[in-house]
Order: sequence, then C-alpha cells, then structure tokens
Amino acid sequence: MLLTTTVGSFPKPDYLVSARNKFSRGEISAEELLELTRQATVEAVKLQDNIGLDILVDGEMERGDMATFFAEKMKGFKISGLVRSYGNRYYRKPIVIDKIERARPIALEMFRLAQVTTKRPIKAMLTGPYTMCDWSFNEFYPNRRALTLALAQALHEEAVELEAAGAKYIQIDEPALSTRPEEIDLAIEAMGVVVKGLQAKTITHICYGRFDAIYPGVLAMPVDQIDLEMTNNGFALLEAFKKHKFTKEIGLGVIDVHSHLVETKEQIKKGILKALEVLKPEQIYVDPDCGLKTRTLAEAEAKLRVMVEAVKELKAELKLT
Amino acid sequence: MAKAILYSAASGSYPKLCDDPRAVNLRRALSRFDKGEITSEGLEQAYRDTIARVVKEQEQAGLDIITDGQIRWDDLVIPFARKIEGMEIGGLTRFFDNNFYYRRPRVVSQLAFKGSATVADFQLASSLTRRLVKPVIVGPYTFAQLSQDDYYRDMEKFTLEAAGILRLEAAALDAAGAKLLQIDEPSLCFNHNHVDLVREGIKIITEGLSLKIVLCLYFGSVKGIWEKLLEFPVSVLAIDLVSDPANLEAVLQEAAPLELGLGLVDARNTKLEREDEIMNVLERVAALNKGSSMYLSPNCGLEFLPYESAKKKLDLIVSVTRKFNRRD
Repeated sequence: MLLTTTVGSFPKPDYLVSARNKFSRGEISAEELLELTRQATVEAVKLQDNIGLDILVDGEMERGDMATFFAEKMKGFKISGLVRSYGNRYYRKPIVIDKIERARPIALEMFRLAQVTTKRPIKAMLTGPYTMCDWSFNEFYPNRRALTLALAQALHEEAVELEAAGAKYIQIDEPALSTRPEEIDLAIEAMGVVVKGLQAKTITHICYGRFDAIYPGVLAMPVDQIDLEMTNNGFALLEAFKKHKFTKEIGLGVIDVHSHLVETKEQIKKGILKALEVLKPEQIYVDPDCGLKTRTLAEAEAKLRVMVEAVKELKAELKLT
Repeated sequence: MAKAILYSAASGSYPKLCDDPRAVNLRRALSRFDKGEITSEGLEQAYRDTIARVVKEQEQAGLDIITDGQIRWDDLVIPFARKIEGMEIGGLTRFFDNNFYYRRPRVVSQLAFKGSATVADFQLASSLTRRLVKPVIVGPYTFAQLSQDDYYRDMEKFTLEAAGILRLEAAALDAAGAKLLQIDEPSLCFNHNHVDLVREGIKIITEGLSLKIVLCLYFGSVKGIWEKLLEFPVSVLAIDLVSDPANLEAVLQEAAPLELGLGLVDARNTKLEREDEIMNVLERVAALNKGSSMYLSPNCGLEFLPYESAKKKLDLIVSVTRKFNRRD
C-alpha cells in the first residue's frame, strides 16, 4: 500500500556531466566514461536506499535524450544534427534509415549494476515504441504504424532480457501519447507487443495535455499501472475518475519536478488523501510528477525525503501497513 | 496561352544553427549572453550575422522568394506578444502535434500595439539580397487560439482585436517596402467552423494595403473549407500538401481564382522526396490552373529539420522548379 518510487531520471553528478562533455570532445575514452557512469549509478541507488524509497531506479546516468539513447543502441538508426525544441534548447533526433533490430542489450547493464547494489527492487525503464516513433525521423518504414510496431518488437526483446535478469517492475514511458489522442489505439497495440508474456509488473508513464482527450481510453493500455502527474492540475484528474472509475494501479505524482521549492509534508498528504477519495490504497504508488534530472541533487534529495516521510506518517495515521 | 511559371519559395523558419564551425553560433551566443559573458551588442551582432548567413544560403541555393529565416523568433507567437501591450508570456506549450514548444502568451488587459516585431529584420534581410524577401506574420485567429485569453474572454473579440494590431504590423511592413506578406493561420485547419472569422481577420489586416498577401495553412486539413478559401481577400493560398494528403484532392477539384503555393516538400521529416513525384503533382495542378503562377515550397517552416536536411530540401525545391519551368 502506498509504495514510494520515482519516475526514472536522477540528476547527474557534476563529475559525470563534466566527463560526458569531455567524452563528446574526444578527451576521454568510452571506458573511462563508463567507469564514472557506473560509479554515479551506484551512488544514485545508495541514495534512494538511504532515503527509504520502496521501488528504486538506476537513475539513467548513461542517458541523455530518452529517444536517442535507445536509437543509438539499436540497428537501423542514425542520429541527426541539432534540432531546436524550444527557446535555445536543441537536441539530436533519431533517423530511421533501415530495418530496426535490437542488436545488443540497451538498458540491461545498468539495470544489473543497480540491482546488485540494493536489496530493494530496481524498476527497469524503457522508452515506449509510440514515443520512439513520434520523436524520430522516418526514412525507411512506409508509415507510422509499421515503424511503431517494429520498435515495439525490438523493445519487447529488451523487456524479456530485463525480466530474465530479475526485473520485477518494468516501466515503458509514453510521453508522446497525448500528442495525437486519435492514435491511442496504435499506442495500445504497440504496448501489447512490448509487454507480451511478461510476468513483471508493467507501468507506463504518460505526460498529458488534455487528460479528457485520452481518458478513459487510456485504461485499455495493457499495463498494470499508469503513472500520472498530479501537481500541475491540482489533482483535477481525480474528478475524471469520479465520472469513470480508474481501474488500474496509479503512479501518483505528488512532487513538482519543475520547481525548486520543496513541498511540505502537509501538501503531499493532502494530495494522497484526495486520491484516496476515488482510489484504494493498494492502487496507489507515490512518486514525483516526472523524472528528476532537471533538479539539483540537493533539491531532488530534499523533495524525496519529504515525500517518503509524508507517506510514512500518513500510513501510520491511516493504520495502513 | 502562356505556360504557368513556377517560383521556388521559402516557407518561413530556417535552422538557426549550421554545420560550419567557423560560422557564428547563435546557440553559443545566447548561452554566453545569459551567463553575462557577452553584451547585448554582442548578441545583436550574432543575430545579424546569422540572418546574413541564412539570407545568403537561400540566395545561393537559388530560391526565388526568401525569408529572414525567423532567426530572432523563438516561436510563431512570442515575437508579436512581446510587442503588444496587455500580454504576459506564459509557460511552454506543445506547438500543434510537434515535439516543439512555444511560450503561451496570456492576455491580461486591453491589447495595444507597442511597435513592429518584423520590420527591422525584414529590412536587414532585404538590404543583403536582390531576391524578393517575404515577411511572415502570425494570423489573428491562430494568435488567439494559441494564447490564453484572461481579459476579453471572448474568442471572436480577441481575434478581431489581434487583427487590428496585426494590421499595424502589416502597414509598417508595407511602409518599409515589402511587396509580399505571408499570414500564417494553421489553427484554421483544425477549426473549420471559424473560417468566416478568419476571413474577417484577414480583411482587417489587408484592406487598403498594396501588399500581395499569401495565406499560409499547414499541419492539417483544408478540404472542408476549400470553396470558402478561394474567396478570401488574398493573392496566394499556400497549402500544406504533406500533412493531410486529402488537401491535394481539394486543390485538384477546380481551377482556383487565385495563385497557389504548394507545400509539397515535407519540412518535418528528413526523408527526401523524389523529384518525379513532385513534378507529377505540379503538372496536374498546372494543367488545371492554366497560365497561373505557382509557388513550390516546404509544407511548413524548415526549423523542424536539422540543418543538413533543410539544405537538401531547399536544393530539391530549386532543382524541381528549374526542371518544371524548362519543360516543353
């Protein structure tokens, strides 16, 4: 009941940011960078253990952009030059130039390292096929559906390996789902391919524009849990659940990852209590709204400690185990 | 009857970065300015150098009609919102169905024109080339749709107020020597029931001005409003023929009483179109609109593409245009 977790990314320590820059300039080797990435991963896991979170993540220390990271490790992609996403922010996009294949492990190594570092379960993190398609240029497949399903197959193979390596929780992120609500059936079909046959608990994280555009349709996603941000809209989503029952587990985002202000225990407890008006305690997993990589390490830690404390207190108050 | 002449035209935005390490890097300049490492004069020079490079590149590519690349624009609405009294700049919002975000302006009090958003860069670009420079402005309906209206609380009123302000922008461009003006109204593609309001807004902007007006529609469908679009008080209808393939059916329905801009090259995907496929469509449209000038352009702004791809797309457009005009 009311298990605590995070959405995936943690802030990278300065030494790792510096090493990544050096590597991109050819000043250090891939092996040297990997060593530091592994060190940062171990530190991130130990921090989560220390904070007392129930379900941990590897912190995504080796990842930059969540689509490009997967594309670089799959066959059939090249990576584009810089494209602007807003303001003065640029990123590189995957370009599909050939048949997509999972040629080698993608998230497996860091998952394994994270899992040997703790007794608590590590949640494996994948970028979903619908999002990978939406955020890539497509020069090979005849249409979006073909590309999305090809990606789903490759990601399925990774998911199977992660489960074989001991993953009890596998999260497949689909932030692009809200972009085209009319394509939700494709996203659902593709998710079905990714999770087919998995015994692990499956989760999807989606950012949404207008929630009513994808609800209740999103309940057809073949996952056990849907992770949603709540702080942005004052928990207005819960109103939608009153009209149409939320039938899955929910990742309840109670921490605003875009603000440096640390939440209070009261704010967090209030949010969870509101959720308990329409959801059962065993449905609710408490986490931040989104990945923490835009916060400083100190901010992330402070916010998570308050969250864990708040849940601990609330569980005692409600006499929940 | 004289054969239709095809002109190659830019659509609006152009990548702000290039792959020449010796060129001025606007991204770096902005970052350094934020850190206080260069002054505002230094940043201004970086903007001017980038506009100069972008103008030269379009010229060297052989484009007939170019733009200033919208180098100073963060997005379609911000440059105008910043020059309007009564607006605050809000949070990042997805721009249509793109993985691109704009800052959503908010109306907090009566709107008033503070000054032109586009004249300076239009004049700079024009001074650097003999090619025709086409300024672009956001349309009033799209501006209203993309903003949050916490003052008028009346979409139609907001749209028409915005039209009044954009009229002043258009007049300033007219006075600055612009011969052509493009008005972007992508939001109309998603709200066909407001076509009359959009028309009214365009009329407010353009009435009495001697500018040739291009109405530019992209990202969505025009088929349901095609008949009405043909009656708009504009000289050119520039249509995205990539995002919704059914738009071509509309174009091929009947001869158009105005000129057509054909957005046949996908500015949102790096895959390069085949020249013969574009030629085929051009020939079909030309056969229907005998003798009328046509314009070949990307379906929307080129900034959705990495630099290398944007250049290839422009080269393709120019190549096809030349082949088309040379055909028997």
